[in-house]
Amino acid sequence: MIGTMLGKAIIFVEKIFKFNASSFPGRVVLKLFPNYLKKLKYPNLVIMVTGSSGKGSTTKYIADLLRKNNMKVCHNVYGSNLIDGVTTAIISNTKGKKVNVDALVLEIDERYIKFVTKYIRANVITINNITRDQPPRQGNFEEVFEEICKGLNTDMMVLNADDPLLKRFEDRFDGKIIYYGIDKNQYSFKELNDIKNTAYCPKCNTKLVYDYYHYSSVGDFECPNCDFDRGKINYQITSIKDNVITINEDIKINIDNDTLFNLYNIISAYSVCRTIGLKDEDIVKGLNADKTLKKLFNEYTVNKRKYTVLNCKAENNSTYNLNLLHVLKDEEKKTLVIGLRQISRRYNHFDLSWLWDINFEILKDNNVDKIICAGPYRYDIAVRIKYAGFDEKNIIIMENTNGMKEIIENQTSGNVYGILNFDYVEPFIKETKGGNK
Amino acid sequence: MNIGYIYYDLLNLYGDDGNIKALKQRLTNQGVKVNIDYISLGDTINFNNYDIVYFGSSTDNNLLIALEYLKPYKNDIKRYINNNKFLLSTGNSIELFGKYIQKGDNKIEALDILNYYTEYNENRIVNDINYNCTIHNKNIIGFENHRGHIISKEKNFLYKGDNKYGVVYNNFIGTYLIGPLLIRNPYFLEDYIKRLLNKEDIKEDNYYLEIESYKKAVELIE
Repeated sequence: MIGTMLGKAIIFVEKIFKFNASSFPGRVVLKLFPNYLKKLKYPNLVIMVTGSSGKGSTTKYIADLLRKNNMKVCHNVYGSNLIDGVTTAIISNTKGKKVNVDALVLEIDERYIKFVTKYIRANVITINNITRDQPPRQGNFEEVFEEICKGLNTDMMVLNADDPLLKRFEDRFDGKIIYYGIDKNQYSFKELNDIKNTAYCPKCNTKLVYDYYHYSSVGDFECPNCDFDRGKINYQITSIKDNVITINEDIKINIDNDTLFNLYNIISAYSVCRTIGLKDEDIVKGLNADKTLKKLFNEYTVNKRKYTVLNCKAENNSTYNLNLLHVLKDEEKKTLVIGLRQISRRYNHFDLSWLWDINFEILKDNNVDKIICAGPYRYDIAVRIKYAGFDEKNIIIMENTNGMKEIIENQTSGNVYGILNFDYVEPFIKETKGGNK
Repeated sequence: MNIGYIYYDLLNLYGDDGNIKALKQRLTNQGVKVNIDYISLGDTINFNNYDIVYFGSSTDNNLLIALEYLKPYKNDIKRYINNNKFLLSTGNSIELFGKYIQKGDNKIEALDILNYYTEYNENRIVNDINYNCTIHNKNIIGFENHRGHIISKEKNFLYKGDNKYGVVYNNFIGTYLIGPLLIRNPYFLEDYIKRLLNKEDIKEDNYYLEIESYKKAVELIE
């Protein structure tokens, strides 16, 4: 087929010139052949991962797991999740009209799933969460929910039962729904003064009551007035201990990052693979000590200070809140560095309201020595920290990361946590490791 | 001073809680005792109890839920505004106080207190704002992100000149600006506090960080 040949030619040329454009070939092909995706023959297994956060990691977990089980898998590169990126990934695995793999595993932007499922029917769509994220682009979680509802061309959905917002797909999707969740554990909260996206029952507007929270409205909820609740869970993490999680009180998996965000990604990947018929032993083999999350989670020691770098998306209060909770697992003295350069790569707006949806209040009285606020929005971050009840004189303001190592070593104490937007991770690591590797 | 934070767990889409934090801290620094009532859907609201009531922004569906629960209080809110008491409304909650909300063919009666109505657009209105304010004569900065837009016959706007946005009536201030308006605009907050306390001279307060953040925003938003 001409589309495939053209796409492959562009990918080939890009490789020669070492371009790393992961969506350009797809864009050109779709421009010339708008129905290109409709004409292809797809494998029997098509898995789509969408939602606000964790898509990239979950997709990679599933793809790696299937590969370890000797399947040939096509999956799109981390973040190239609009239709052009998806098409590019498909082209590179297509011969003529046939997508020549055993499984297609796609990470798809929550607003673009409807464009992909217009051409490709999924066996499974999995959604981990719909949170506050990129308001200028997304509007709000309600609008994202409606956009996803337009693209549910799938046999099954695999959903996080702990989020009351996702339970609402029951009214909008006729197929089978498989649920996963995380049971009460040492990281669950009886009370969590976190901003909620769903505080009221979507059926009768009664305030939901919680047995425990994991973050935001995510936890074990029920409506005191009607039958709306978390319901039956097919696959549940029932314990977390010493880097081993147990699923349904039976299956054990080794992990190297026990943040709840990562655990939700893992249980999502597990549930998808069980749903498509993989055996427990093969899933466990595939997931054991997967290194996927290393990129989001970096630990090192410089001059006897322990550094932990947490990658946090700006405009997404949930990832910040979960990372703050993770920091507080450390009861020793600590110093935090909070920084970002750009609010978004996609647009130039200056909305900072999301900073006020982050529960910085929990840092108070928790053995935090200093907080360094860095980058163009350093004063906005500092104002937020101040109103969270943190003493202004313990806030250090820096224009960028230059000289930060010296400030950390001379003016702060305790373990260092970098809570950083993607564009501050590299500069921070480079600065703090500089000269003392 | 009593603050009523109306439907704090429903009208809370964009860090709106920051406005409550700003009021609490600044009033406390003036030596005023502040009490905040966090009001949920279904709670009985006695508007006579409050010196300030605050409405934040929400999803468009949740706004209609709030509207239904507020309808029994229509006359109470009207009396409250007419008695010159303070009401601050940010984001789409401004739509509550107009005559009606038109969504396509669907006309939804609103609280009908002020002389405007809302029309919904297919496209969202997404803007950074930096306009001179009619109340304190300095610029207000912020961000708006909404589908409805107000068609107003009210005489007083929040901004000067051609920027006929926002509604001011007695001590009612309504604006589509979202999130922590009072935090991001320290001069506006200072003026608001003065008017709340009905004093020209108030105790000097430390706004250093807020003013640096405000200056940066004024520079960024042309």
